[in-house]
Amino acid sequence: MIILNIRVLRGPNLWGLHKAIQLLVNFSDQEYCFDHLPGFEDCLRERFPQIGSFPPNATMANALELAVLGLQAQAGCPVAFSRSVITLDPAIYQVIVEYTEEVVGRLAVELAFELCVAARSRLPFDLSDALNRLRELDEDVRLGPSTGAIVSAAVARGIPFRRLTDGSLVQFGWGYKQRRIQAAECDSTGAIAETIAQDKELTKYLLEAAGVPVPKGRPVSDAEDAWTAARELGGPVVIKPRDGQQGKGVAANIESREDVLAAYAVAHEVSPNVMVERYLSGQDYRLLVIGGRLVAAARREPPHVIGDGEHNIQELVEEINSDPLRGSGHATTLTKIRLDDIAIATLAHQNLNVSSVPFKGARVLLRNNANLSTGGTATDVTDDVHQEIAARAIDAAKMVGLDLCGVDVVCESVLTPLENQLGGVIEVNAAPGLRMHLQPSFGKGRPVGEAIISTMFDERDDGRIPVVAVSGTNGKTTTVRLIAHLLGLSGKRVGMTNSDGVYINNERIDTGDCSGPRSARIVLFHPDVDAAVLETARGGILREGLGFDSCNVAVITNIGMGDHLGLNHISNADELGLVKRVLVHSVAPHGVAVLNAADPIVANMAAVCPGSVTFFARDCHERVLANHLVQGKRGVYVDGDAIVGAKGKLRYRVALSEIPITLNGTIHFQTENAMAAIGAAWGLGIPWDQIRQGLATFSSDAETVPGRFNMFTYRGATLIADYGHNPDAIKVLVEAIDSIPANRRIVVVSGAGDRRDEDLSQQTEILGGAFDDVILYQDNCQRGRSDGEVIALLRNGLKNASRTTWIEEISGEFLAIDIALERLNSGDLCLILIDRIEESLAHIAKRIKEG
Amino acid sequence: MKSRDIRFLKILSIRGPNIWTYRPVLEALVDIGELEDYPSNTLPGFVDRLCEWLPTLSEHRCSYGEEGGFVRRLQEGTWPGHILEHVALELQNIAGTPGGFGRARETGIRGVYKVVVQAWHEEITRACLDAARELVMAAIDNTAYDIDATHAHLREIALRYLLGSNTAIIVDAATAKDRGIPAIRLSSDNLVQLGYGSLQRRIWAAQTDRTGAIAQGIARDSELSSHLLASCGLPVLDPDDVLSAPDERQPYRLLVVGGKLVAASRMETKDGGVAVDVTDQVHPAMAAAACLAARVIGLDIAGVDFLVDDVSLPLSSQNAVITGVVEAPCLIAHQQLASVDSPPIGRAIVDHLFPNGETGRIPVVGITGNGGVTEVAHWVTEFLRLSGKFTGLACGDGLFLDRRKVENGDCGNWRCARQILMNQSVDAAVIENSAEVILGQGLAYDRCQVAVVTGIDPDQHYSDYYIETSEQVFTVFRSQVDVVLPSGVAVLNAADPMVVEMAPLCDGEVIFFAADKDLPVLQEHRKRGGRVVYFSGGDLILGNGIEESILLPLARIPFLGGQPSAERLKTVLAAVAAAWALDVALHVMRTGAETFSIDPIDNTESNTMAPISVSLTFNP
Repeated sequence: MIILNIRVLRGPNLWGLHKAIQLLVNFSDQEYCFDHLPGFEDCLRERFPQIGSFPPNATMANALELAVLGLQAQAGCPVAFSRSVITLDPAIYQVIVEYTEEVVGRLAVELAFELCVAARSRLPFDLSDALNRLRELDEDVRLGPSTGAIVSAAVARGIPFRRLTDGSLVQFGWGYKQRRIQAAECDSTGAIAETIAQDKELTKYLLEAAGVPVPKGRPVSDAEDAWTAARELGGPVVIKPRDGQQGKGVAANIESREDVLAAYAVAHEVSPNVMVERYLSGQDYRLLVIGGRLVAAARREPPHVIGDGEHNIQELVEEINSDPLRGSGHATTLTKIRLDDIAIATLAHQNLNVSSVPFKGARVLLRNNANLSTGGTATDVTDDVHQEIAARAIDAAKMVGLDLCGVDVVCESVLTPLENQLGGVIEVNAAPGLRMHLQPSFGKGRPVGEAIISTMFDERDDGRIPVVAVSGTNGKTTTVRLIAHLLGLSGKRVGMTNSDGVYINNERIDTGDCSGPRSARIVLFHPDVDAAVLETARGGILREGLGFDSCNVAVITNIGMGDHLGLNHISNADELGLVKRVLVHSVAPHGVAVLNAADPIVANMAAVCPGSVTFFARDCHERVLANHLVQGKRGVYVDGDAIVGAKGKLRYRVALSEIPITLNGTIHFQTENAMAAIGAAWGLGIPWDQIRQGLATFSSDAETVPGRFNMFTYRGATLIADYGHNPDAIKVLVEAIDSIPANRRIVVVSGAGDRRDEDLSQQTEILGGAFDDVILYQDNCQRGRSDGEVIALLRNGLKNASRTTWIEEISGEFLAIDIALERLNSGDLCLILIDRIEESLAHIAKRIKEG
Repeated sequence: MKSRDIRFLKILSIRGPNIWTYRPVLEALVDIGELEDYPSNTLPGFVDRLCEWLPTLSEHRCSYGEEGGFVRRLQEGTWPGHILEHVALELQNIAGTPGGFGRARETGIRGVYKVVVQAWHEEITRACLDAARELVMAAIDNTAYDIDATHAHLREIALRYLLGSNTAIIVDAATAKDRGIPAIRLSSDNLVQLGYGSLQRRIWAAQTDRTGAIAQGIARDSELSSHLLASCGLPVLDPDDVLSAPDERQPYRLLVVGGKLVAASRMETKDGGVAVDVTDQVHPAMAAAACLAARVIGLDIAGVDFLVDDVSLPLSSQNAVITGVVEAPCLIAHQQLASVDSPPIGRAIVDHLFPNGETGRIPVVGITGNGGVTEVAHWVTEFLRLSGKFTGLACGDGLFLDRRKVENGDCGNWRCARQILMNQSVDAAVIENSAEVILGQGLAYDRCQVAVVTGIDPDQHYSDYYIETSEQVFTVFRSQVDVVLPSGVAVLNAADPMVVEMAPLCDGEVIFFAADKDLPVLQEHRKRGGRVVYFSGGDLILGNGIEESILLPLARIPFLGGQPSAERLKTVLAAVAAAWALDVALHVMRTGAETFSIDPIDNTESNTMAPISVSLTFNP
């Protein structure tokens, strides 16, 4: 058993919409079927009893598959999907298993492999260690409870998210709608406000100015002044060193003159600056204010034990920690109490140690702070909070300037206003922990994540921008550019990916073939993008899945005979259709798939579309289209001299004469591209006037759509440069050229080495019936073929050529072009099938300029 | 001659506009005792010693309006109070704060003077006053004086208390005449509030309240920053690049504020300091890339660092990279380098915080006078609340935030007024200022929308502050009218001759009020097209030039009762005039007048009410 490669499918993919790991595994003859491995299943179950049940005729691939799935599931990851699929090679399987965290999935693969090997070789396998490793890794990498709650709330509203780091920095939404959070902090949380919140004295000053009760007080100059200050404040006071730490030198709840003087002396030893403050009596409360509203409140208690008169403190703590609800991390409702240095110091402060036996009913504090992570408890009191207390908490958040804020209040009860008791706000916290409100130790959890998301996104806003995904064998790039042009006219800043690069608002920010998920993510990440048009090639879908979870419009131009067949276990056009169908599968429920009704493979994709379908075909009598139209659904077709958008009784006409790229409708494949783009624009709700205007202003020149049917005139002859690379493309080019009158026709052609032999020969077979002169060229890039191999295949295709009378083989693209140009006379036509688009177009432009 | 001494009897810190000037001052009550008999020309060597220690005193113009003016006064003979003022001002100069306003005035008691010195910062000015006293005494007594130690001491104090230079650039731009945005320093650090109440914005050095904490964190994480920038197609430093051959590229810092490039400088390669201003050479595409970088990180103010061959060429035509995006970038370096005609950085930040010429000013109503002031304040507050504004009120019987009484007792003072102006919820502020507050504390605001002077009792003097004549009383109350904004209104009692005299001092409009329609002042004002409020035929009338409209009959105002006292009538007139000045709608004024009661709506109810559970309904 050898894992040949591992692919992580991060977006919708061939197997479904979930994230999955895809393994390509080579099994030897002996092992691939359980029947050849007597006792294997028992051995496997012995080592991993929870593994799922196997199908009949199970193979080692199934064993690996269910082990990867089962290990993740047992470690607590919510995964359910898995599959094993045999490839054309019976010894090679594809194993696909859902994952939630990529690294956890990868570790599960590693461990599952070990498990299968161990089961086969009758070697031991340490299951609990494996599960622990997975659990720990998962806890390490998955989002913490606060961030997780916010992300879940976003996901529930359909808002897309992306983690920007391994930590808690998460981005919601796409393009200009993007927002960020980091734990319970959002991008509108001000840096200044956070600095203020960290400065307790400044916070107190500001809160007091806002009329929020705070422990009043002042610095004092000596012991007598401390007593004066205590009398000014009236009631019990706290005396503390101004910059003390961890409660050192602090005396609380003192009233008498003697106590005040003594406390001053103690505090003065720690710091020369001593403060006298009003003592706030009561319990600790945390009020969570989000976007000017009180969303949750909890009473917090520090970790403590209650004496029973028999057991010592250590025993009491052990008893509490034996509660299964107490875990060691964030995963459980409660956290174990630690008897660490701080706890021991806290005990010492009360003249106790771990072996002291507190009397029955005595409450012994083990820490002064009530953080859940150190063993404290939280009780939800949201419904009890008096409106005046809520109002003060909101005032406090506003004064400090925090939109997301935990306000710490000390008071006897939250049922009556702070002003009526000795209560007050003691601290304001930025990035407050949410766990105590999400999963309080006692009482109801509160929808805190939802509240945070609702401050960032309006009720109806899912943070998405319109996304159009385009795929197909031919015409994608022109269609993508045309749709982008139509969107741009409607005032949107368009992000576009295609096989030439990534464009943001007409500026190219990346070059090369950018039709994969990485480029799609760049567009969706860019803050200046209002709408995205993404060319989506098969390679990326197979390699990684889509770069987005769903789209508004999916356009499939055609599959035809297919291209790139033979690569990546896609052996025929039907299978290629399955890959491109992923796009249609990803259409949002309110979205549209724009499908070529004349291409049966494409037309069939309608079945998986969660949204509605717009079919297009030149011929309105085309069966699929006609059946669709008769049901009152949307269709686009050619009627006489116009393209028509039809729905029920509605008809929108765009004259072909007003669509320059179609040359009055003579270039059929351009007409089809225009129909696809019209379907997409219609699906996006772009007004028809704008669609017409956009079509009228879009030209197929070398600047707008380089390498896509760019026409030039050279010494009275017609030059057409195109990037056509497969039989379908060549066929439509020939079809288009048939409508252009010419004396003699010359074609310049090469072949891409990564195509199948038959596809290469087929291209020249078609050309041989349409061109008089054929110039075959090869360039440095042979894509894995040996020198001359491609040319030979091309020449082979010309064996029975009905029209070709002259064939020349040239080394070098520019030279081939030059030779073709030299042969041209006025009235001739030359089709140059260019390979290096930009360089060759530049070369042609140079020759034309020279005249 | 032991008894020859200068003593500070009292030093008042007057923190706002006052009887002397618009700016905060320290007012020292100085007793020069026997020195009253020793003007400067009678003390041998005194002037020379003084001028030796403080040669820059020669620049003081003083009474003669020309350089050397003050030295001439010294030579001709002047008294220690006056000398103290000039020395303190000069020491402030030395400490690094602009000198500014100074006065020395007799009090009427022999040998006791008021010495007033503008206070940029209370602690610094206090230290300068103390040092000035010691220096003058040393010059008088002809004892040694370590002037260098004083320089060092004062500079150190100034450094400790003055705003940091980055913050100061912004505050200066905000408070400059052409912007007129008020500033309140909120902490001993550089936290400053620009504007008042709900229209305020906060800054802290080159951070604003729009600078996100997350963005700050991202900017500080260079790896994450680079990753995000690269994700948006911006060229970033390849970590492998660092080791490559010597680099011909130059480091540049582009300063982006609110999505716009405001400054650019070439940096010294070694220390990162700014070296040459290149603001006007930056190629637009380079500027756009810098702005995009700031946006990607999420910063409203950012320094974007580039390595480029030529900043005047587009990014794509050269091997350019962004090496980092800096939060809270240093502004002062750009400012110092910038050519005179490049746009000032502080101003760019202020315009970013306050676009479209906004001033951050909420309506502030200052009310002063003898009698009826607190009631007028409550009336005006009621009108503002009714027009939907969250109104803060600091007056003689408490501090109120909207309907909530936050503090009992006399709250018509600087502290409570400041509290209101600092409050982010407050849409309008009504502030009572007694003569004592103006004299002893100053006004809490630099300018106001509306000033109301109800009336002045010329016979009431303020001997604690040595205000003993009616002219001096006038000076006290006029301070309120002096601070009215050009777009504001002074609401003045036309029946009070002393108040009427204040009308020409107002930078804005004047609305007169009086019970008697026929009062000549009222008539005159109407003739000139002014606004007036008065009673006629049992109605309350708003007169605008020759037009007049009945607001409502007096009988419909319960506050006045059956037999209204003159005092209550005056209150209603002043309050309605102020409401009119604030553009309160007429129907709101009517309802306010019909329902106003001096007892505020009972607040105690809410204290006894059962708690209302917080509704937690999110998107259904």
